[in-house]
Amino acid sequence: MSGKLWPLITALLVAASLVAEAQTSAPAAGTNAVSRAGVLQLFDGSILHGSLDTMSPSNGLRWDFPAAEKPLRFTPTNLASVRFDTTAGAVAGARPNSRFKFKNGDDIFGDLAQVTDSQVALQTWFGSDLKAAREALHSIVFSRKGFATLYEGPTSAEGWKMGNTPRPWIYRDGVFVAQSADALGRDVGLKGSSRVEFDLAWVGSLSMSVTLYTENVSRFDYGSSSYMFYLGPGSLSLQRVQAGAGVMLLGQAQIPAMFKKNKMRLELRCNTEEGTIAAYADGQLLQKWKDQNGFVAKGTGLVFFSQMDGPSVKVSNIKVSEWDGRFENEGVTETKDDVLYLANRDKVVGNLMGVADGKVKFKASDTELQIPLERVTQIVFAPGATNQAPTAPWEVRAHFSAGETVALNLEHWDGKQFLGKSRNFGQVSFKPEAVREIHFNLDRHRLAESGSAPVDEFLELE
Amino acid sequence: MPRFFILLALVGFLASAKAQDVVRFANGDLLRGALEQLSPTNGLQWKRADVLDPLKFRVEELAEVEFGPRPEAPAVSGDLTVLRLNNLDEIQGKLISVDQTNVVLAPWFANAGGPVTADNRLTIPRTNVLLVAPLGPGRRLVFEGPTGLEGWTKSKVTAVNGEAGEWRFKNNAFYATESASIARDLKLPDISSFQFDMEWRGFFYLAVALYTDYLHPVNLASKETEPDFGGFYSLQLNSFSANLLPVTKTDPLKYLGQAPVPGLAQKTNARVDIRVNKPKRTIGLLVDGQLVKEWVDSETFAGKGTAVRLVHQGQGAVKLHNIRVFEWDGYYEEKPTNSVALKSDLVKLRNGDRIFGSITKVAENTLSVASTAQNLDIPMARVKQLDFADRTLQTNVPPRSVRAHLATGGRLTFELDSWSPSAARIRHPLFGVAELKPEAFTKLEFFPLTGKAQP
Repeated sequence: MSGKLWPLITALLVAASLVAEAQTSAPAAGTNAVSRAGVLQLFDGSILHGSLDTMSPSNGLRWDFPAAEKPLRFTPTNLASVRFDTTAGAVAGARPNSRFKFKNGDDIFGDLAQVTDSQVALQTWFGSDLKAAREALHSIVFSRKGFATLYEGPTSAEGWKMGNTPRPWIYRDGVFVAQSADALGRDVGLKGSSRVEFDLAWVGSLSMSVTLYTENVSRFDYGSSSYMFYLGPGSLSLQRVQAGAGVMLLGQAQIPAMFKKNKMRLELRCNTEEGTIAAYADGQLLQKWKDQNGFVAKGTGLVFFSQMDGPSVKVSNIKVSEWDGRFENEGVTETKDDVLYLANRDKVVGNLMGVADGKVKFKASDTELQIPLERVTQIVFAPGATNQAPTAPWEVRAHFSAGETVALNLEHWDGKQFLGKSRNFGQVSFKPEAVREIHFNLDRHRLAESGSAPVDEFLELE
Repeated sequence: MPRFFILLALVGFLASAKAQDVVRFANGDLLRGALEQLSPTNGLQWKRADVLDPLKFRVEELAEVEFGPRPEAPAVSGDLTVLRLNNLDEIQGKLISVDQTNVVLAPWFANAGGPVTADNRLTIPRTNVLLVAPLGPGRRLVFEGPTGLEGWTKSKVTAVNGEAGEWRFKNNAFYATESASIARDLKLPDISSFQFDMEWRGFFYLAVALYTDYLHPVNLASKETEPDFGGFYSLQLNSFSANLLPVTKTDPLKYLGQAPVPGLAQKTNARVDIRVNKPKRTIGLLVDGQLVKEWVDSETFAGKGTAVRLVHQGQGAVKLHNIRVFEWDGYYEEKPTNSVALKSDLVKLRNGDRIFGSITKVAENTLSVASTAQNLDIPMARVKQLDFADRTLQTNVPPRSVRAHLATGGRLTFELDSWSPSAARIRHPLFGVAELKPEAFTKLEFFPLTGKAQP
């Protein structure tokens, strides 16, 4: 071997050893790690309560499980999710003014700093200020009241009231399960217009009610005014309960998809100023109703009432937030341009030139407009190029406690640091304690949500 | 364990589609994978493809291990007998003999259907045996499926809501989410058991036409104008109740009576078993092994054929699988009953007679019993159950016990030496050391620290 090659070989060996060291020196098990208690779920139905120690592509997900002789280390192959028992919430009183929806599914509440012709800048409570390519954005929704979260959970049964039945609702792993016909209520501080969202799962023939703006959260009470949604097999109806005046059916909506599945996400919106109430199932508007008597309910509570026997109903991922009463205008305009929706319900199609200093610069036809930001309700960006949906093995989706979600290619988690690379925001660092849940294998989650995965064989037939 | 249940359990065992073993922990958690080794000293060694290190769990943290399908299924031939031991363990096999000292049994899970040899016989002290219940020969399986659409006739159903669908076949199951009919001549015997597993979403409504000669759906509201069809019985089952009516082309419709099916609305699956005795004109419905109702048609038996038609009535998503037809002897199964306060042995015969006395022996399929009146030799085919005198139930499980559940429904409670996919070595408190075939068992339950009261 030529002597001239030795320096090169030596250099290669050194480089190789450095690579090897980099691969193996990534957070040594337990070193400086802060384990967080929670539940790990795998796609094959396995479920393990324990605590997340560390995560990295080189060392896998390291899970402390009390029954095991040493921590378990999983490759990402079958990982479904980690849900933490406790989470640090958003700063009390936080009222981010904007909701940013990205084409890859990222969804962030924050304050808009700036939009230029190529970039958007925003501030969040759970991580550093973020900048993203403008073409990654799907839309920005503005709220004149701010997106204030009134309640997000459950994280325990604390603060909830149940009926005096021998088998009340039980709480486990972020889910309330009804054991018999029983009420589950909480004063969530409903005041003014609001949105109430939750995941609902059921077995058999569903029969339950959801009462909003009630003064009595421990039972169903005809003596106080409220609005009650009744959910039966394949349908939802809305009743006004008015103290002293009885019950009035305001309308009904059919949900045929309920016959073929056993879970959905429901969203109920109330505009107290206009007396309008709307229901959404899995993001699709079911029906809007208007109470001609005006909005009569005066309470601040929310009550779920299962009318079934046995563990037949599950309620989870509840979020109650203030709402400015304005409906989004998603998907109604087919255009290649940007669309600006205004508070007076006008719509302008053209090119968003930028947002800065509380003003929106917009070019419609040949006219340049400057519109105060408070007059804008929503910006829907031109379709353009979409960033690809996540597919890499360690591409995870973090769900934060106020409802935000960000996908990122995980680089390191040790309970003190949560580092990764986002397709939208580049290198990111989030507060681990702000994370409520992490989803893995996002393709499989997407298939499950779309009804194409073998999560439910009946949906698979569709 | 009645013989019918044993055969069904074996067939179910064969057809089971569970992909993996499952370990359940004392805190309710579970992990899928495969059992590699299990012993009190080394714990549970568990295998998964997606872990970076071997998995090892402490035995005291285990609640149960449920096994997935086995590559080799057990087989049973010849007459079967159930032994119930004083600790309520129950095992099945070929009864070799009973004498004053021992009961000798060749358990099927020791020889896996091979010829009985001395090596795989269990010799159990008679004082540890509570009862012996001969089950007789198995029943003939007439049909098992579905394995495809071939042989089945699919038809459109005129739906009230206008949405007609069709049954679809996938993974050995039929699925329908809209109104649809599928039928086949299953050659139903005159005395039959027609069974299927059913799963559903939402509110379901299924009509089962029994003993029909017509493979297309019949609109009952306008049956007189339908093409000619012979009479049949329509069993109408929904999330809450069942109803039965004989249907002929010309006679007015006449329901034989509705029966509530408790608990069905709170479930998403059930095993349906329809028992028909054509000579006695009875039709019984069992759901998950419980008799819901037995209807008696006071008129002549309406069914003119031997086919079955399954009609989705347009509500809910329904899956049907593990469809089987058996010959039936017309008797509903009963579990053997304990008679622990006996002062003398008791022989229960199939005709209902009872003989108190002293069981001398069982040999060559003949029971010898000394009663107060006389000594009797009775063919075992006439015997329903032998109860031994002066037995005391052992109602607690010793600490560190493991209970293994057999695919046929019996169980053994023992101290575990070791368990691997190829061999299980146990110490049973009532018959000592034994080596068993692990594939005969569906589940292991752990009682790690304290004895639990018997269920």
